[in-house]
Amino acid sequence: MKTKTLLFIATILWGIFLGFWFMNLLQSLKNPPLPQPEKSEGLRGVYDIDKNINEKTIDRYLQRNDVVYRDVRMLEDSATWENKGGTRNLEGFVEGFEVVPYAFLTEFPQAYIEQKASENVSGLYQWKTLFHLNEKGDYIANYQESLEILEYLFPKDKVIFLMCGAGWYANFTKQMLIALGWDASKIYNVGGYRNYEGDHAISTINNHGDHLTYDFWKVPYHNIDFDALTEL
Amino acid sequence: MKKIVVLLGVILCFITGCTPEKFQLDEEFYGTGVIKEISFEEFKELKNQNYLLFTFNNFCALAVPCEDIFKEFATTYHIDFLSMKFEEFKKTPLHKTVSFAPSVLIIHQWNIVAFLDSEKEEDLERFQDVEAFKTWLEKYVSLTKE
Repeated sequence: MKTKTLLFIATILWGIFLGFWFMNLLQSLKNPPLPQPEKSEGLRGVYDIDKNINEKTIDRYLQRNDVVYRDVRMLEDSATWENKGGTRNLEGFVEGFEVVPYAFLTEFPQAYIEQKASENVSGLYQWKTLFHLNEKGDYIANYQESLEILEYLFPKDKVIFLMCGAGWYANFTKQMLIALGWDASKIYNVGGYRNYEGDHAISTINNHGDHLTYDFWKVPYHNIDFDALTEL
Repeated sequence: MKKIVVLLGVILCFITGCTPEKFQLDEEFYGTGVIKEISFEEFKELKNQNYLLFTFNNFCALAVPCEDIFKEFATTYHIDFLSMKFEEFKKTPLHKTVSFAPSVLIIHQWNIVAFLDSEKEEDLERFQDVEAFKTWLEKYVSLTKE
């Protein structure tokens, strides 16, 4: 009787062990290990675009449940990008990426504003943001809820893939998160949508011949209602 | 295998004493130093020409915008460039070789002789310094009309 009970318990434990092992196996098949973040060489390295996970390779890393995908452009940028031959509107995004504008997170560095002004690009977003930069370059919360919102949008327990138009806003966002305590080894700047070559682009453009309209309803977008927040 | 082929190429190059031969751009490109933007349709009209092609991304945000470097070079040395937005450039067969913007391509009779690679450390200075760009370009192209 005693032996039978022990055998029964051993079988149950063995079953539980096998169950866990099988679940882990399934999980690792779905989420194979990611290469560590590694800065590209050359000019793209200045943007801190990742050498391994970027516009060319991102398709291999989509639909993982251990990753959050964030595109940090605005739907409609307030800056005069058309003066450089660009456009203010979000023309498309990679499937699975959710849009959280960097401009709503914190203010642009002064050097960047001046540089853009020298290129005849003015009117960068300069209104309400979750954080501001002080003289020392530290990020200071503007609202009681600022950090909570940031942690919700960029969960610390997940790997974070950041994308924008060319890689620069994604770089700004990465630097901000790291400065606020996020783990640098879990944040990847995967580059710019304009360089994306994969099969998961979702275009928002509607070309009517003489003018364009944009299907922003396609975009998973995180708005921040600053008026509902408590100012510090 | 790829490494062996490259190695053999390099050895062959040493044996034959080959260096990239300088060539002239088409006469029209020794001009006033303008950067002329073209579309994909205009690109298709180009015939066997020798020229410099700058492809750019509107959101280039280097400390010194790279287009400023190429503009300064163009006006200093009176060499004209063609330029294409990267969206247009992607439609060309050149995109198979040059994956990312910005870049400057040296084109000799439809072939890419050399290009600035935004993923190469050695090319970074050439995007940011007129003299470094000139030194690189001079290896392939004669800067004065003969």
